[in-house]
Amino acid sequence: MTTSTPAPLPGETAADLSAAPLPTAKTLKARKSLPMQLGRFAVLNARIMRMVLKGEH
Amino acid sequence: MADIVVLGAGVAGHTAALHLRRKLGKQHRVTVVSPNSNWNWIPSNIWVGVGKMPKESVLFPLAPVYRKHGIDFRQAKAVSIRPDGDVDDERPAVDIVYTEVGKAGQEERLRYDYLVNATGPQLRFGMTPGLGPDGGNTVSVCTAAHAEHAAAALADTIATLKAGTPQTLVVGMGHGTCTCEGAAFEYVFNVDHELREAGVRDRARLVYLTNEAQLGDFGVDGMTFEERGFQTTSELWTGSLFRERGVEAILGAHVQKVEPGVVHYETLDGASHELAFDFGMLLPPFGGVGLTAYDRAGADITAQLFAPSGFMKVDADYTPKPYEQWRAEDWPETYRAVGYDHVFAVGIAFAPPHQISRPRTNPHGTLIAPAPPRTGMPSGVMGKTVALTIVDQITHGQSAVAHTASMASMGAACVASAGAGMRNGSAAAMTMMPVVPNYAKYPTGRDLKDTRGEIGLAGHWLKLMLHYLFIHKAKGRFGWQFIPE
Repeated sequence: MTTSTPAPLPGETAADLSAAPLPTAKTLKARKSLPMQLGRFAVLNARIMRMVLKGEH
Repeated sequence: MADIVVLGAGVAGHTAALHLRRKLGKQHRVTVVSPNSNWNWIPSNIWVGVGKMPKESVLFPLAPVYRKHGIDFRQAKAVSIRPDGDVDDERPAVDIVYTEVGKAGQEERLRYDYLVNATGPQLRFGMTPGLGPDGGNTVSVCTAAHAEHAAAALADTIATLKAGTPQTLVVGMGHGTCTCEGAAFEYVFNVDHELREAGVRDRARLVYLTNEAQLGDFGVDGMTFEERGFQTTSELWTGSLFRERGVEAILGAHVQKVEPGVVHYETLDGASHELAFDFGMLLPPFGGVGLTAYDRAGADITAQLFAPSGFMKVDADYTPKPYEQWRAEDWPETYRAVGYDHVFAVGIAFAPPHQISRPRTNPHGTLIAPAPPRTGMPSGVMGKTVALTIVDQITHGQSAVAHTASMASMGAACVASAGAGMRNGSAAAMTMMPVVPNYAKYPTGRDLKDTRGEIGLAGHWLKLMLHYLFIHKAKGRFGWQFIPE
């Protein structure tokens, strides 16, 4: 029995994501911060409502 | 008195029926034909599929809602449209076959004055040998029942991981022409979240297998965001999440077949590959539900009304042309069927003029191109739009101007859950305006003020709020009409 992650097989073609920016510890903390996320929740709702109202239909 | 028949009770059809009933007097009859007895809030199937929500939380019976609102309901499948009537009656008609227990197999011809085709997709698992939960080798989250089955399979995989055996989990698209990449994106990150909660993430290899040429394409050709004075792409933004969570991505893939434990796929460079897996959730390609159409004499006119995909042709520009010549104006505005002003097709049921993402073929000629998404918010807007057109025509006469709602002028919000939990949940919340890029109006194709993406706990709250809000709306409860589509 092994406990390591299965290795890719030869010929598999996973994308190289090494250039993708990693979030900093501060960003990760902000994504879970309750006061900050309460503010973001209000902003997200306002953004969606604005988009709904702007839709030309 | 007018007869309006709505085929389908998904987001588009159900929205159309509720608004028609709300706006029209009782002398007019609104009839909904759906083969399903339940309404399903499909976006939350993702949570059913990881065992975070019971199936019952995303379903409710349609019949009581329609009874309360005075809408006729036939639990039946539409099979044929006769837009010119038949030899007995010049009124148009639709042929239905009941699926309701006790009446299953019975046929009926319903006459209509207005027809709304909102039949949604046929899940074409059969286009990829070995795909799907019914006799295939993968699971799905397309229906609540599929999602419940997926959750059980995932629980087994987690149990195996807990026992110490490494596992490979693959999530993504089961064919090169699939749509709904956002759903697979959500599912892979919810699986990642569950694996972390179970303490077994380090033993699991998690692979996202997609027909998108780049991450963040989502079938809408990706998005450009403006952040802190710079323009960035949804590709970079999405790639960051994959890298942070350690999810591998295989891009530009067309799945050829799925054998037990092995996915065979080809990529845009024409090479063939195999991926061994223990748990696989791969979505099927969509097609029309297979409606046929006949003229008054009984001659088959299906090809006149429907595209080869089975979706209904509407007021779009279907002229074949290269990607560089695609325009926002190609997209339909009124959703009227070709040649029949009293027939409409909305939601997934209308035939898009072309993809939104750049279509690509590999050296073997295999088309690997995400199909355009037209679910959720755009579906609801289309349903309401055709309802208002029909109401105006009945109320003010045939000269009433049709309401319009092009996907090239409407926005959409996509809240992609990346893990459930009131304190530790997460979601990638994206808004795009418009859905179909309009390069004549915006340099990046979309309005940068309304095209945004952000990741965080607030996105999870938003998705949860939308779950309760839209089920409240779909049940036609107090104030439902004030909740935007």
